[in-house]
Amino acid sequence: MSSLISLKDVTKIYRTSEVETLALDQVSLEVEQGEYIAIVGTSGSGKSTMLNILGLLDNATSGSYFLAGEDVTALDDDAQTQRRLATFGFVFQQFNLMNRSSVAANVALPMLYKGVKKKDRDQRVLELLALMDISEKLHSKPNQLSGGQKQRVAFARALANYPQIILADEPTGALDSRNTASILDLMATLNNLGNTILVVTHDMDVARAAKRIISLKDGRIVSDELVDKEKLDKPAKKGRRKKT
Amino acid sequence: MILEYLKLAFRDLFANRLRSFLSLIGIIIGVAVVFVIFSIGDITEYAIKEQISGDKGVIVVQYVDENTSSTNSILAQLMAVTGRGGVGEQLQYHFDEADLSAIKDMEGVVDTFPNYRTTVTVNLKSDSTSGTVIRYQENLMEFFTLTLKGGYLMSDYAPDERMGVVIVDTTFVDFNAHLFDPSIEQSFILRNLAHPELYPKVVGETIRINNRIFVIGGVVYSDSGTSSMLIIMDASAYDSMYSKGTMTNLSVKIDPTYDLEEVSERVTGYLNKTHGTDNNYEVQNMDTLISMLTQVTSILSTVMGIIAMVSLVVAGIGVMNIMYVSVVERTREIGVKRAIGASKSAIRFQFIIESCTLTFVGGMLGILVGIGIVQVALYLLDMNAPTNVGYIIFASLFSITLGLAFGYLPARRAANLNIIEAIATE
Ligand SMILES: Nc1ncnc2c1ncn2[C@@H]1O[C@H](COP(=O)(O)OP(=O)(O)OP(=O)(O)O)[C@@H](O)[C@H]1O
Ligand SMILES: [Mg+2]
Repeated sequence: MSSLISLKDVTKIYRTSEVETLALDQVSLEVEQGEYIAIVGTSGSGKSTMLNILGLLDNATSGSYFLAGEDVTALDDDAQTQRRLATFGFVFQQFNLMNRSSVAANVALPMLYKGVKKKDRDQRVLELLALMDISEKLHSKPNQLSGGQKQRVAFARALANYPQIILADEPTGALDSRNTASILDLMATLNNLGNTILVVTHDMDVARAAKRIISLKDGRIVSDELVDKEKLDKPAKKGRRKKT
Repeated sequence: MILEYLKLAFRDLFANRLRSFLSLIGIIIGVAVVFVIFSIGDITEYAIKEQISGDKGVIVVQYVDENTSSTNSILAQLMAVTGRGGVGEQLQYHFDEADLSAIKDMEGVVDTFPNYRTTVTVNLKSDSTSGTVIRYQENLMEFFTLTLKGGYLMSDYAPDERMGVVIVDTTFVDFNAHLFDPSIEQSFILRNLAHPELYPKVVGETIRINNRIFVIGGVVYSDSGTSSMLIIMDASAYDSMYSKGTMTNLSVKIDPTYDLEEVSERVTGYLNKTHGTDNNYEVQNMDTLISMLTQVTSILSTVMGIIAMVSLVVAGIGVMNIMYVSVVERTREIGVKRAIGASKSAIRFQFIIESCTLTFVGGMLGILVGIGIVQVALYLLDMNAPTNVGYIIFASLFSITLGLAFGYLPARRAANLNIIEAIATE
């Protein structure tokens, strides 16, 4: 059985007119179905780059990437888009919702690209908004929502096409502690439902909510360890529970 | 799916109403001009055909000199049709009394009318105007289906009275209404010209033609629409003022139960044979008249066409520009859409739909403006012509094509944006 994700010696070099930046330096990584991984590291350490390559938003300069046993490095743009649509759900720090469209239209958008019928789309939207506990915002515009609500809509959108893997780049970066806690609860729930989650973060509280933490430094993985749930510091955990 | 994209495109257009409208002005103008050009050609043709059908069963036989250039002869035809006969080269007598009676007796011929006409300057009150003097004959009223609208017919006057009397047609009165009655304002709008109340009143007024004074003895109206600004003059008065050479052509009325072509050929065949000429006598051919008018309008069309093309290209570039701006403004949105599963072609499609919607809306507005212009013109000229649905379809397809052509490059740029960089854009 091959891993869900398998990176081998992946290197990414950004070339601008004069400067060459080594963003990822021979990174190898195996991710299994159902994992919940936090990627941490200082600014510029290559976290986003790694997530983007994993999500097929960008291609590695060298190395190999097997997704569910398939070599995806050589696929053309359309085929990569196809895999992205089928496998990944993206969540961004800045939410990146379509401000002119309603919450419902935002959540439905990935299904539109997949060619899901309108009836099924509408039903799925209701289902997802219920899961995110924001059903009443169906017809609102994103700019009428709070940051936490926006991020819930973004999660709903990411989940629209039943993705195996959720990729979140600093999903709590623009949220206060209360909303951060609710997003962490949400990610835990999704992971319990069987979704594989990779989350990039600066926040050690967010990282500790994951089951595995990968640390990057200068484009290299410097540590990769499972989180010992017993060692979690109690105040943070209590604070989270108090809210819900 | 396509419907959803259309909905999105419309929303974006309305979000930027003013900018969209500005970029559409060129397309509106261009399409409107194209529509007007097409319509001008149509309307001239339609108007001529209307006129011909008004004269059903009447052919006009003319003598065409081989030395005269064809343009001149066409010009002469044009003058004859518009009631302004008498062109220099044709001031020779080509029909004699024997011809007339022989043709009248031919099988299938009902009646003949030799057209003696002269365009003249008319002094009316203290002003001058113009008209076409036509030589009276007993069958004139019947031949041209004229009806009396005021005063008396020429035949009501005693032979010695006729010398000083003219019968004018309603167009002459209408056009000069402001001269007959100073309280009437001069109008250039044909529709507003009819002044039926004047027809009985002008009887008894005097006009001066070539320094001879005539009294208006009656006013007649023509159903056929062929006469305009006619001044019917008694034959002996006419002959004392103008030469026989002013007979430019011969109208022949043909029995509708006979074949028009066949009788026409018989008439021209007879004339060419007795005069020993080689096809110089011919029936005025409306096709050449139409082609002549088409020639005139085609020059106009070419000029306007160039204007339209330039404005469409400029408008197209405007659309391209607005689409590029739109791509730049929405770079981040495009990146996010790509990330959540939009293929390059989906993005391309979205932008092309947008530019096509833009140009289509412009095209439709242009058509509306064009129809408006044509209708106003028709109203002012008191004419009728059907709107050609084909042009509307053509203009819609054309404007969509414009959107495709000028929207393609911006759409391609949008589709080929680097996803990561696009998302990172502020
Ligand atoms: N499009 C790009 N062009 C050139 N260099 C880039 C580009 N994107 C990232 N880099 C460089 O690659 C390196 C890794 O960037 P990356 O965005 O992966 O860092 P990060 O760990 O996500 O940092 P942060 O926590 O600040 O988001 C940085 O040095 C960055 O300057
Ligand atoms: Mg980053």
